[in-house]
Amino acid sequence: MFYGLPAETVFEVKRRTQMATVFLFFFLILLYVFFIDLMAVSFFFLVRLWVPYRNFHGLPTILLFSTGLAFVLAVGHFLSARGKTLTELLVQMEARPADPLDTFHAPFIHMVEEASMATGIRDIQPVVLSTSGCNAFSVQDTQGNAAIGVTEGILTKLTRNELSAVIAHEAAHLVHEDSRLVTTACFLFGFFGDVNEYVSRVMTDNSRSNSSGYSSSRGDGTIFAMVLWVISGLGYLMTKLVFMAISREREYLADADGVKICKDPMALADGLYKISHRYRGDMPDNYKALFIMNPSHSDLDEQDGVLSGFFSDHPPVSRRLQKILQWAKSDLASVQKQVQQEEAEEKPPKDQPAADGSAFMTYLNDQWAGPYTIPQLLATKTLTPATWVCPAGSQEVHPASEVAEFLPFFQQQVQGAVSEWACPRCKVSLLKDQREGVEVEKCSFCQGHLLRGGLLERMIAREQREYSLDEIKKARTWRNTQQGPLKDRDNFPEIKCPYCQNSMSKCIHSALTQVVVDRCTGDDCRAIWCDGGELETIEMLMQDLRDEA
Amino acid sequence: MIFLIGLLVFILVVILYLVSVYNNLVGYRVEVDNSWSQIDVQLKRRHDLIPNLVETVKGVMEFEKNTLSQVMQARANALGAGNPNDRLKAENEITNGLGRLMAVWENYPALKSNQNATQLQEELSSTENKIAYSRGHYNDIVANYNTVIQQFPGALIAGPYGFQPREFLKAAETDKEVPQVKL
Repeated sequence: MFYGLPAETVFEVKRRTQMATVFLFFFLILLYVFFIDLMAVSFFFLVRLWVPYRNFHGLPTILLFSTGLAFVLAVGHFLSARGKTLTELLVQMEARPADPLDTFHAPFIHMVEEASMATGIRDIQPVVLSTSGCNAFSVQDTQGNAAIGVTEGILTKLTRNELSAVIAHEAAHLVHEDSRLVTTACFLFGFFGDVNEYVSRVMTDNSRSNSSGYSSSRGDGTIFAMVLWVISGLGYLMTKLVFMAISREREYLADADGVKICKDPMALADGLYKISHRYRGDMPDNYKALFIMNPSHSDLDEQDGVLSGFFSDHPPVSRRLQKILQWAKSDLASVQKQVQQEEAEEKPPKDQPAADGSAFMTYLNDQWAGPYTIPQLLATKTLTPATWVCPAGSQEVHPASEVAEFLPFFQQQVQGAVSEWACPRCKVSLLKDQREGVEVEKCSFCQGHLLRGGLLERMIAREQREYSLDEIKKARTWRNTQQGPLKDRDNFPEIKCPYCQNSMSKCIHSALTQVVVDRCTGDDCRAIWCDGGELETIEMLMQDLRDEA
Repeated sequence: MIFLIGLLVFILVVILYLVSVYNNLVGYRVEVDNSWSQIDVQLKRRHDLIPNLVETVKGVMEFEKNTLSQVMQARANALGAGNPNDRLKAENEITNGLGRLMAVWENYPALKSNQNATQLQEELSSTENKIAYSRGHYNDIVANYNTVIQQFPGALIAGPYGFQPREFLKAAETDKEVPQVKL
């Protein structure tokens, strides 16, 4: 009933992985020997061409020397790749640990724990990629540390059962040690891909600058780069072949064993179908083989011929679905219908009441009045932290938040779930607020939001909050007026990050929204402060982009 | 003389081989025990969650009062159980009771809108899954262990050194009852 590879015991799996690693190592040596010997031989003959009258007998010596060099390089390369750890890989992939306080991440953490229970692999690390694409992956380093990762997008698009099935698929990869093998292969051969990409980028840059004038500056560097490009390209091509041999058949097997774990073939089928017809995130080429579905959609994947069997690292989705649906005794059409129905239900009506916090900062007094004593001032209900005040008889104008006497009064008005951080503008405690499934801090006076590093990206990926067309239109008009240098756009004074007390620098959130936000300069903080209305504007404009797409 | 040395070497090799077989069996047995303790951890977690559950649904009128008190009673039984069999029986009762509560959970709007209740529901169902998964995994491990101690050469060592086959965890008795359909 299941896919026809025989069941393996843990020890057989270990032995197979070891064999495969040895094979990869020999392949690496072969690559090095081949290329370095090739270079040595061509160098030898080049020298002979230029110096024709001297007699060279040194070819065997040179070959011996270059082969030795190749061996040393290959062993060094292998050892350095083995020494790489999971943490380094996750940093390279920009994966962050899942956040237990986040209402979207918490179930995911549970599911990974469940997978760990079902497979007996201890301590699988749950990590998240901040992209709105839909995908999932698993990695394991040579020391056996494992992680299962998902994108923010998949967390919002799949139901609990579907996500659980997808994670069971990834856990099955971990059991079969596919992830360990692919990760090792990534460590070993990712290098060639990187070199190739780097060289081709440098070359395009060069040729661009060449075409704009200095066409005579092509020198030996270009020839060297060409050679390097060809060599690394060949290495990259051959390593792609290795990946494919590892990856393709193993996906079917992981599907089968994933179903064995989660006992719900229908959920896996639904999950795969949802991933397959959505944006799957844009991942670096090196890591593609790690994901449940090829991040960049390629037609080759969907073909079933000999050529595609050879050159694509993921099997056709339709074939995978077909196999899974056999177990579920269902067919593709019913899956499609069900998913479409679900999506129709998901979309809430467009015209909901305006979101809270669309008020913008205003000056309450358009003329100076007074002088009032502090009790008098406090009695006028209009005083807010943003109100300009000026001590009588002086010319120094401050916002009320900077006058210590007012602070207790403002603090008193803050009610609700008070957090331990203070608003950088109003100096009063921020309130805890749930927004798009994450915990953020919000100021009850200026309506600004404080977001921990990485949260903004997460929130954008989610589509819970819907704005009306009217609001979006206003936001769009506003954006089109935003031009000119950064310093003219935003008159708010500089602030310090409430979390870490580092200074925050103003930056434009993205060219698409043109909103100026304050970003903490602390390296491991990267918190973002959005003044009142800024977060809403970003969300409106991102929704606008999504709707257009 | 040479014959004697040959014999000694042979005996040494046999002993070393038997030692490695023994060590291998110990490894399997420890894995079984460890796997059992993993189930235990999850059962403990569930015991800790039940008071939370009672606290959360307290405000909801008439929320399956009967089932809830059954679960509470079963929890008390499990905590006070003298032998593993009684304990397993009580745990199975908790599983059944919680299953019923989770099934009707969606019918109570007061619970659906309550953030704490939603979190608790997620915790509970995740713990249930973990228990089920770890039971399945335990059975896999037991199957490996039982095979190894009954096969040659494990069987040679297992008998004299007291490696007993372990029992599989069976589904709860009530799970197997055929549901009565009344039309």
